[in-house]
Amino acid sequence: MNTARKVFPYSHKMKMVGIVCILWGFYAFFSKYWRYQLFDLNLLTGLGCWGLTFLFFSKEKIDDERVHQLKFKALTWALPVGLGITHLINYLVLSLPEPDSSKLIQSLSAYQALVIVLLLALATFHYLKHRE
Amino acid sequence: MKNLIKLERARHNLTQAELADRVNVSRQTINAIETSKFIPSTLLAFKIAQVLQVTVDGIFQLEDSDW
Repeated sequence: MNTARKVFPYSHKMKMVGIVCILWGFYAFFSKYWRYQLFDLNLLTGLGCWGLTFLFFSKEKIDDERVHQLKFKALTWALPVGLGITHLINYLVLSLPEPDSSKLIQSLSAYQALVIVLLLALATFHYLKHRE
Repeated sequence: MKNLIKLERARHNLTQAELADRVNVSRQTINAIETSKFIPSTLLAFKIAQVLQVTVDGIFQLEDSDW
């Protein structure tokens, strides 16, 4: 009858995989920037969202029902707030004041939006965990 | 929901950490339950009651604000 332990599928060790993914993303970003002066966030956010997914959804050292509740609470806050931030950046920063049909409309990628949501979720989870 | 875990724990001379260890949760979870910040599942409530050798309704009681 122990279903609570099966909520988060990745073991605690998968957090290391997450950290490696994030570091790899930073390495790729900076090596491209130093070599070609290119500000390319694609690889950083692509690997970053994998890394953050492993960090957030891996089991904690003691993974009990309170941790699951706090993670759920963190996600329910992070998703609408992250989506709101993404829309604000798209409409206030990236959208052109005068639309030009010959140019593509810029917007944050799904990877970047996911990174924002997961960063917020992780921050909220650790805040809730240490507050209570 | 009111609970008498702290009282029963003292009666059995158990620390939060020892009780947490016996029911496989963190010490922070026991603390959160004692201070009514977290309501445990039925399974965890039964485990705590069994360790403290009382019935579930002997340690967890509904309050008017729970309705």
